[in-house]
Amino acid sequence: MFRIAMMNFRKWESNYRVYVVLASVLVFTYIRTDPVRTYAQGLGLSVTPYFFSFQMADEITRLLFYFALILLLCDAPFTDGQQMFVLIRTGRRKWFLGQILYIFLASAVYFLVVAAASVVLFIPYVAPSLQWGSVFTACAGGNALTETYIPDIIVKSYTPVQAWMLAYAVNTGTGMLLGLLIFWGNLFRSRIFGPAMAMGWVLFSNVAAWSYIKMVSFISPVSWVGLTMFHSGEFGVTYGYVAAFLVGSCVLLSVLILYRSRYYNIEALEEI
Amino acid sequence: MEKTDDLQAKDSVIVVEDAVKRYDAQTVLQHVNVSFKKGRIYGIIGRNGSGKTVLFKSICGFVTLDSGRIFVRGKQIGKDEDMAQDVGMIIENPGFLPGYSAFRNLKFLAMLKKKINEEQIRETIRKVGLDPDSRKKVGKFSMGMRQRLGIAQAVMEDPDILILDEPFNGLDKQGVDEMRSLLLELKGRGKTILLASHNSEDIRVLCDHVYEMDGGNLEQMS
Repeated sequence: MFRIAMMNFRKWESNYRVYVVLASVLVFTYIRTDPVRTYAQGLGLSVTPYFFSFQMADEITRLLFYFALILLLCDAPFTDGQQMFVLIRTGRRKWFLGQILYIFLASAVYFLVVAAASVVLFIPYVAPSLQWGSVFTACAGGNALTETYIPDIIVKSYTPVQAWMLAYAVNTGTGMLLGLLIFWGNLFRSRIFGPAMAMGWVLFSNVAAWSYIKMVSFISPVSWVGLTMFHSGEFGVTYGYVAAFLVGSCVLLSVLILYRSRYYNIEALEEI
Repeated sequence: MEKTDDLQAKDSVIVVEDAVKRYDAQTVLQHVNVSFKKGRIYGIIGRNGSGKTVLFKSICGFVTLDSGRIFVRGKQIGKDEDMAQDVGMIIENPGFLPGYSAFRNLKFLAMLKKKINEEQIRETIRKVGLDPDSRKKVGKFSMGMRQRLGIAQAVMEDPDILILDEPFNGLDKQGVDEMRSLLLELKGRGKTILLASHNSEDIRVLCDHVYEMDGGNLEQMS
């Protein structure tokens, strides 16, 4: 299965869509980090490499990052001329499991790139540390910076490493869930259906944020990736709930995909 | 059309029984019954859209039938196994990883089954007239070179059955002659080959039996 998944990664270097996604991540990260960089530069301070923990705190920014992820995975189940040669050697079941594994790995790699971009774009002001550092401490919740939202609650509730790991895990899990939703949707209709469903769910996070009915955020995983939802009192989510929701949904979608795969007509499609 | 007893003859490696396939309102396979025996080359001719490719895809297991059954070496596709095993195929235009050489493309595919080693991959590439040591990326290949590589990936693991849909597309005369010789050599070694081609010369030179596909119906010509 790992070899099947790796076959998809090997296509990245010749796929223009992957370069568009990478460029988008760099641009979105630059826009989001620029005020912090300017602030650090102005005061001659260094920035610790944990900006990723705050990366998705802003509702609009997370829409952009998740739309880029949808663009990366929009052509699931990734059937092209080359994959037909793979399929005939592996059989359907293994091949579909390989594509599910690819979605998980692609999501993990995507958020590593997002995290790496938030470090690289702070060069030369970035400095390794196990503390939040003076920039994030000053900016969190204070008036030092108004253009970039750095939630105070994250700085107060977690160590930098804890916050980074939690943000990475929730983002990767949510990315995988959306990828599997795209995959499942595309098995029923053209390759528009899956991405449309995933985009709808991402947009729903903004509805959840602005809605008077706060309970809707319990079914909006993209609302959780900013980490602040873990500290929203009675309308907040718990770590156990988020883990159970993401794992349970991914398992359910994987089962539905494997069930559907038995009857799915596999055609070699043009690369998007 | 063949009778069921004939279809189930012991030396048949592929048996298609009453296969029906519809796409929306269009029926692309209309109660197709046919069997293919070991060590022969079968030619299937027919206009574009007549159902040749869908028949090949159904035998491989890419496409599921609305009704009917397909057996490959006695195992029912979609029931006993989800795809036909030990089958080499080219269906439509062969696709490869454009950023890698011919050798690396085949190596990645060979790693999935682990049946052959690197030297055997090189030997297969030489057999189709390509250079296994060339670093030229497949993305820079001509259509004829891609087609040769497609044939190499189909035959490299020495499968018993070859399903080849227009395998000579884009090949020059020398390439066609070389590939014809290769297919005849494989037939001599007991391989069963299904060949779809628009070129009547290919069919005449290579095939023991010829079928025509027309509007989803398959009729034996010779």
